[in-house]
Amino acid sequence: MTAPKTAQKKPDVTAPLPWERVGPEYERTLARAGMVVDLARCVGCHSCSVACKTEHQVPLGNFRQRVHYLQRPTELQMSFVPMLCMHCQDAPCIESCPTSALGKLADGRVVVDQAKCNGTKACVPACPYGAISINRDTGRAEKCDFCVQRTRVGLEPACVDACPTTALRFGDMDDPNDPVAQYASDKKATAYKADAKTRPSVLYVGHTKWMEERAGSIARTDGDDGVVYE
Amino acid sequence: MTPFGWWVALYFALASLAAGAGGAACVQLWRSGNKRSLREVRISLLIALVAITLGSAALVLDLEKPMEFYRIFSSFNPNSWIARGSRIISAFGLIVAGLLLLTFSSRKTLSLEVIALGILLSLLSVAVAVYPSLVLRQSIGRPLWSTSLLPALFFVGALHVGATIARSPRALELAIGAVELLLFAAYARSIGPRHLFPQTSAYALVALAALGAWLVPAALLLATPANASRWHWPKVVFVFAGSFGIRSAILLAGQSVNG
Repeated sequence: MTAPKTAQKKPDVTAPLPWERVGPEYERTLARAGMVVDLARCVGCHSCSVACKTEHQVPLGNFRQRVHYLQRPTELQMSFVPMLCMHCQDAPCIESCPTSALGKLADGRVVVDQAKCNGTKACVPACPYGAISINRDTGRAEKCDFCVQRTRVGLEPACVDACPTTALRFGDMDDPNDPVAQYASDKKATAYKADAKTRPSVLYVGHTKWMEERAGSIARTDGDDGVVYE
Repeated sequence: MTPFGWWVALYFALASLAAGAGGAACVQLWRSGNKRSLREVRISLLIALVAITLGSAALVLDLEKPMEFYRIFSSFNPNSWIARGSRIISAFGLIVAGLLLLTFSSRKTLSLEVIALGILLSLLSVAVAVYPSLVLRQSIGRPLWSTSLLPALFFVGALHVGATIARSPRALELAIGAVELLLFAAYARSIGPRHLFPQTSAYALVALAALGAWLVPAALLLATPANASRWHWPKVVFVFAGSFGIRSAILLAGQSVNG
């Protein structure tokens, strides 16, 4: 008895190459856009924040994303904590904005409608993560939007693409079959500052309470620890 | 980043003045409707109108895009206390203006319309006094503002201003002032002295000076005879300065800790 021949799958030479897979037809439909940040993988290279600044032309002094350098309390080692907008399911910024400039897209990400924002700045202190700042050039609120213009053509957010260690992963947090959701589940990723009760869509692997105390906000400078990065 | 700056502190103080003056006008309306009482009512209403107008101007100037202030009315978010407040102060201003006009058309007796508007004004005065503290409490990224002491402090602050404007009995004025000071002390204690004046700059010094000025009315009350009228308006100015100092200190403290 001979073993059955397994059909050899031929490569599909008509399929687009990775750099050709850009276009509205490649947009993923997500139930809830989210991200997992694996702090064990982050090496503090700042590729993510540089990519973000480049992609969105963020002016000096404004940050949509920031990597905090924290000296561990008991070891002579550093921890690196990338922080960005958590795209909370119960976003306090949306509640506080008087002009309804802040709102949610269908996939749950929180975005700013620049046409409606008049710079009231109510959203800035409303965010427990300091994720919103006022753009020094436009005078309007600015925050991470998971690179809407990139994801609409099938690309990953700029920070995810730039990360050399895959510490940042973007996916559908409500789809149990999504690799990122599975990764979050396997690694037991949890919310940063869960006591804020905002139900963030960005989850962290390996974060601790002391990290939250020292780097609870994008706006807080690293200088609090005597380590000044920027 | 300090999102709420000096313009907002000024607005908070002017809102307190407007609310206090509005409340004082309501109290004076309930007194006998003779000419003298109506004159005092008109003065209180005028103070309320000017204060709320200047306060609204301060809020518009605080915007990064002042020429787009109308968006607060055209794109209304009912959950935002700033949006709610814009409606409250608009209604307050209209009621005060309407009441002021009616007092000029009234002679000695108070009409039903005046009484009805007076009731509305008393409710709106409380709203104008308290809602700024609710704006601060909605800023959950600033934990030092998440305390139930703030609404009480803001209310009593407006009451203090109103009691001073309305020429209340000395004991009542002193008592309300003491309660305001106690509430502020309780707030300072709850956040810790380190956060009360975190910036050793002109900002903190101005707030301190204004707080110091607050003590002057108490001294004036104790030192002068009960019916001494020449210190009445200087006393109102000092109480307003103290109100500005308290609100500036609260804004400074809250912005010292984020997240």
